[in-house]
Amino acid sequence: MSEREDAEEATLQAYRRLLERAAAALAEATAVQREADPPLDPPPCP
Amino acid sequence: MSLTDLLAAPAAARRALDAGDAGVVELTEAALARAEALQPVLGAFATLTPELAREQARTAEAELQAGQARGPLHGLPVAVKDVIDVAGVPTRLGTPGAGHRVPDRSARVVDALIAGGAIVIGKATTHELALGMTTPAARNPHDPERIAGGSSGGPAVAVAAGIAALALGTDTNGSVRCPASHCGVIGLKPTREALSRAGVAPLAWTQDTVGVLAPDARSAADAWRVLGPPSQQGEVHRIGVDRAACAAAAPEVGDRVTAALDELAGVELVDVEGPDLALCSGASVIAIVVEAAEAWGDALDGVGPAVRGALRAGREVPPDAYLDAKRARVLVSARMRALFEREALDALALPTVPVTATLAVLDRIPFHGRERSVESLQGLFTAPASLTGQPALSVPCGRDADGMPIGLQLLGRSGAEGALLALAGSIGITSNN
Repeated sequence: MSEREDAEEATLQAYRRLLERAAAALAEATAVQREADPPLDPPPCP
Repeated sequence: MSLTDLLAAPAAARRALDAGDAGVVELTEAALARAEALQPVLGAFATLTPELAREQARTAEAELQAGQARGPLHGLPVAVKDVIDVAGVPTRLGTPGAGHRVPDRSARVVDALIAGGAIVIGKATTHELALGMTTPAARNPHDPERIAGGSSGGPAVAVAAGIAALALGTDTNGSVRCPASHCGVIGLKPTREALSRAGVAPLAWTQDTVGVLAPDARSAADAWRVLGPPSQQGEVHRIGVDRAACAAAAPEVGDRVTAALDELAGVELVDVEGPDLALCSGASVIAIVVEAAEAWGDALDGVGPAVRGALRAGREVPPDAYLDAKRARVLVSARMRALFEREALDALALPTVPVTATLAVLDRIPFHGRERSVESLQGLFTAPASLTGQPALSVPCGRDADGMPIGLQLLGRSGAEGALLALAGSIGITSNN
């Protein structure tokens, strides 16, 4: 594998790990919003 | 003052130009010469535009001599991040090939700068596609062995090194505020959509925001009066201090930020529980890589290996995860709004970046007892305002033991850019920066 391919693969794997952790945390944190009926509307920012 | 001194002091430069003590053409030549001289060390520019700048300078000088000043930016040299179009000048996005073009028209925000009499001296370097927060092409003026921050690294360096009086950048997850913090300048991310994105290359369409970098709060406020929407109202009387974020930063950073706040006169400080930083950071990174993959996924052959890996990862994110990121954005915005209302806040304060500028050779550093990637630390404190869309700025508030700048971040209410900049001016006066 070339140096370029190594760098691409390393970044890909790092992002995969980061995104998997983030997705798991978001799924838990947003359960209240996901289950709200009706869904919460996006509010205007402060 | 010498021309070099004037480049680093836009208000004094304007006075000198109005009084005829300096000319726009000679100030422009000084900026171009300084840019060329510092380029081998600092790498602030992807492209210099001497012909365009000299033409604009001659026009601006003639107008001043005829008593036709256009405003507070008239005759001042500016740098434009190389993801923002300037007519007739290549836009290259920091990539080997992706997105390269020579636009026929300037971005609207560049048109506004030029209409205000500013002189475009060049396109400033960016992290590739603006997808990254170190800008390897640029180096920190306070220590060229260290990162400038990113992705608007070149614009921050151009201002911090006294080359440009003002610069335009873009901020999707902190890309104006973080390099501003590392380089010791003001970095303003306005309210989302306050500045047009027409003519600006996309990264992540739900968070992309054009921002402003300037050497001091007054200069940034002058720029905002020219570029921003009219009728900016309000003052900052009450600031919520996110002590948990201060404690989560490197000790020198957190201590300096809290000290700078304590030095402020005429405002009320109240300790508050700030946003869930991990939640914000996760939601922001998922949104960015998915949206970036949509925007640039067909251009993988034209980007470098690191960005290529990031875009490939973005393509793999399951739809449910992206939807949860959007749900998190709703939650964060609702909680932020409730915080500002409950505590009657005009601003929320926390550090801009948990650490100061690190050595460019380091990808990872020890941080609170474990190894962290430099990249992942950058946007940790800036993600909340990128999700909510409210205005936020970074103001220099001191330096660490190595002399590297520390930034204090202020989040405000929508449309309150003027109030934040006025407060930033107070911090600049009272802090030892």
